[in-house]
Amino acid sequence: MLVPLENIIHKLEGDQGDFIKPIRENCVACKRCITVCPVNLWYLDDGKANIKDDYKKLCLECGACWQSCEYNAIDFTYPKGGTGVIFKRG
Amino acid sequence: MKYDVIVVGGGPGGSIAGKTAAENGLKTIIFERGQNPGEKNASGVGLTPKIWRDFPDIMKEMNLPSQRVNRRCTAHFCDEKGELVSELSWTPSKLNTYKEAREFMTVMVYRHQYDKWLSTFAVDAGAELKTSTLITDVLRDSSGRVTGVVDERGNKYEGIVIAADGAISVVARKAGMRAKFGPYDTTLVVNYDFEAPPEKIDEFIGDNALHAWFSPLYPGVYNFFKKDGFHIGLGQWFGAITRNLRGYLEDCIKSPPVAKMIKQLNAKPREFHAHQLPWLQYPKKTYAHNIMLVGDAAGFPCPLEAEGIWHAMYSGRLAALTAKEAIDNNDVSERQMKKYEESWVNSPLGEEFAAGKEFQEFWAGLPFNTEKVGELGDIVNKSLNLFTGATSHLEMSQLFLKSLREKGPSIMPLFRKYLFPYVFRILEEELNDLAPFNDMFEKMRPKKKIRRRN
Repeated sequence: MLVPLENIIHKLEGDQGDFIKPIRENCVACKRCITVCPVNLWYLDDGKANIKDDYKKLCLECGACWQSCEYNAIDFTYPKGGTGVIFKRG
Repeated sequence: MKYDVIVVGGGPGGSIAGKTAAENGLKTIIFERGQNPGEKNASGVGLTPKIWRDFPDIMKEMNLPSQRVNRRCTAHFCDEKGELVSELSWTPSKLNTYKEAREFMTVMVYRHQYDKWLSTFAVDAGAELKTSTLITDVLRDSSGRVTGVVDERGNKYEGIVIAADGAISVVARKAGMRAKFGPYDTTLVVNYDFEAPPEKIDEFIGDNALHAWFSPLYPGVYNFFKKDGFHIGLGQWFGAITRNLRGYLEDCIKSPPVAKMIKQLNAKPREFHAHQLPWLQYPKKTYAHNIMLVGDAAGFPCPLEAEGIWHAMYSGRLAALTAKEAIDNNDVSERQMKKYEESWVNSPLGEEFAAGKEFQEFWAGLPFNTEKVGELGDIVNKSLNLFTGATSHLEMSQLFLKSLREKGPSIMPLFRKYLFPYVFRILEEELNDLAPFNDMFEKMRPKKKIRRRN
């Protein structure tokens, strides 16, 4: 890490809603989500993938976890309109 | 609520679709999930001359604070430790057929400025722009056909849907057009934005504003300079990701030549981004009853350079023109919408995919393949070293050919597979064998002892 990620990831104010949900019963612990997440939000919890409780602080809404999951074990949508990540220099 | 055209997504594709539809007298609404267009969007952001060629009235007005004109590209080839070995640098070709393409290669900007500015053209043309609104579903009639969209508050909007909502298109998913892209259809891109004093960038970088870095340490890295900062990032197809991409990118940033450049510019990390960039050999179906997909939602980024902004704008315009025709004909059937696909296939956009398979395989096989890219750097270095004062040119040529012969089993199949096919495809000539190359190499190989001159 070059600098703490929280210093260089910016969020809009407001309740983002629950936009990523692990579906535990479908998870086979292949760890793809753990490998791909650019900000390391996933971990194995009792043999199943889980996302950190405070994922909304750093999540970049790239959907990499959802895209890489071949077992339909991650539900992904976007945060509520007008909330979530803001790229000021995207 | 009833509209003629509903555009989902306020990026470049959505804004041009909205502008074109409104200019053609259609009642048009654009939905954007951010508080402003562009603030959810990240990319390297090099605007190509094609945008000036095809949207001259818009682009002649562009003057954004972050823009930097790029007139020179440089490719850096580094070894397995990230140390610099060879560099190639070039300016626009005189072969280019129009003024802008001869003058610059790209103009670098930030998306929060570009996308927001572009959206004003849609609004000025009469389109309604609804920000901070997430579209969560499509609207269907009693027979299940898509008639519009639904927002996160349950509000319903009827009209022809132009989906400009990016790689993870909610519209495409909800309409049943695709569940998701395949593992070699889309890439994950991670990117650091660095800030640097503009005068430092002017001094050390100037208009040499596009750099690419290749090394066995990381998949190919792009490095685009704006007025007061730069992007440095890399992407990889999901199917080929074996290690966290941020780790690769940070290895590049810490490698000696890149670290030196960062120090020279007094640059500091300012923002970190990640997004998906579709990178397909050929787009999949881009229309359905009452729906058209444009830009990244359609999978349009160029299969050679992964440039996507012109592609989004161009397809946005074509989709809006098809919508106009559909309204005039009072026909939103799949058959009518197919005219959109026919129009992009038979346009400069369709031409981008003429050798899409070869382009995509080339990138996946060489520059983005950390096990093979070293050989590419090696052959570049050896070719450049044919110009040498270290020994006779004949001896160096012989050493080069000997190395090619020794490396042949590993290098030539790569070249045959990834480089030659697309050259042939572009030439539209099926060469049956590589006889001309064999002849050339045969002639270069000394058969007898060279007779000394007395």
